[in-house]
Amino acid sequence: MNWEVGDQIGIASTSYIGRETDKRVITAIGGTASKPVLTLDAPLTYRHYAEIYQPGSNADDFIDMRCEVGVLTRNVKYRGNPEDSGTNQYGATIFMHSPGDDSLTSRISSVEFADVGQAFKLGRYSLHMHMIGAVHNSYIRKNAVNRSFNRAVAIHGTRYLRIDNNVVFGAMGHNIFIEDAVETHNYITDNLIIMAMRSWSLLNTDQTPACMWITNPFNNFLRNHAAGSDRYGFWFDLQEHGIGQNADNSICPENVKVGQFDGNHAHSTGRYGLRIFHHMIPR
Amino acid sequence: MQVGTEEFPYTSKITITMHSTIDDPYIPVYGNKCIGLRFGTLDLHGVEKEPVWTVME
Repeated sequence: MNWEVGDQIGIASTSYIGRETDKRVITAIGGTASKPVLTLDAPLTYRHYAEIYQPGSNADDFIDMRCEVGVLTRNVKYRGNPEDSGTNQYGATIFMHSPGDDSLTSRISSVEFADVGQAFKLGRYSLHMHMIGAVHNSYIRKNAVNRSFNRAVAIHGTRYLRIDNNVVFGAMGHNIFIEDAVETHNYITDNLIIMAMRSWSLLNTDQTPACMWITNPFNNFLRNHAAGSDRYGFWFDLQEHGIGQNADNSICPENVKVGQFDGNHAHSTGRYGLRIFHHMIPR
Repeated sequence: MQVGTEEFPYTSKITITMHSTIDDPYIPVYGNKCIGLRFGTLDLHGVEKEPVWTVME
């Protein structure tokens, strides 16, 4: 483990209330390399459960209820100015757009994004892949998003994006957002989403936010943790046809085959960990 | 734009701070207070955290 003294960590809720999170700074690291013990700058506000629940004697029958902890500090930091980004809910963004398959390359790894996303403006998402097409060479990996006022990653008209092993703490609206129901072949793996918060300044659907809002099932979701949300963990909100800028009646996401959905966890969600609504009728 | 590369990530400390408000001038499509990428390459690479996240015991 290479977490350092001075790093900020985000601790997920393990109760029924997804907002019972804690954010602290490491002041000392003890224990062993395989089982480090962190000393924090202040006591935790909430209780966090750290056990694997086993109801009987069958070793295969268990629920892993251990609390997730993510590190939010990186040496490369991209942020909205601390003076008024928070009060205005108006942070920094990265907007990636040019039309055409592989017309741009965006490789973002191990970067800290703090006070990002711009509330009250549709399309001003923290990390926004916008109407590109295939992006075989692009990825978003091992980053930390620490407080966003408008989503974490938006996948809009974009295919073959890899979103791998990121930590998101406290983002408003749907956190990982598949926008127009035509986006396919994206790989969303090993991400930790802590505390997705409702937003009254985006789409109506963002009033009931999901850690991952999935409008087209032909994407791959593996080993993600939806750790706390005001409403949903994973929401398959499959659309009848492509919507928005990609309105297309020849595309029927409700009937598309499912890519992969395996090994995902959800807990501490306001309503459902996994929601399938309205229809999912793979042909 | 480039901060480090895949092979050689940036190892010093860097903070990029963006300013602007909702009423300030903006670039059509891309907005303000933003990095806009069009037909190019954006490389941002810091030092990896290992692990990025884990569970308590």
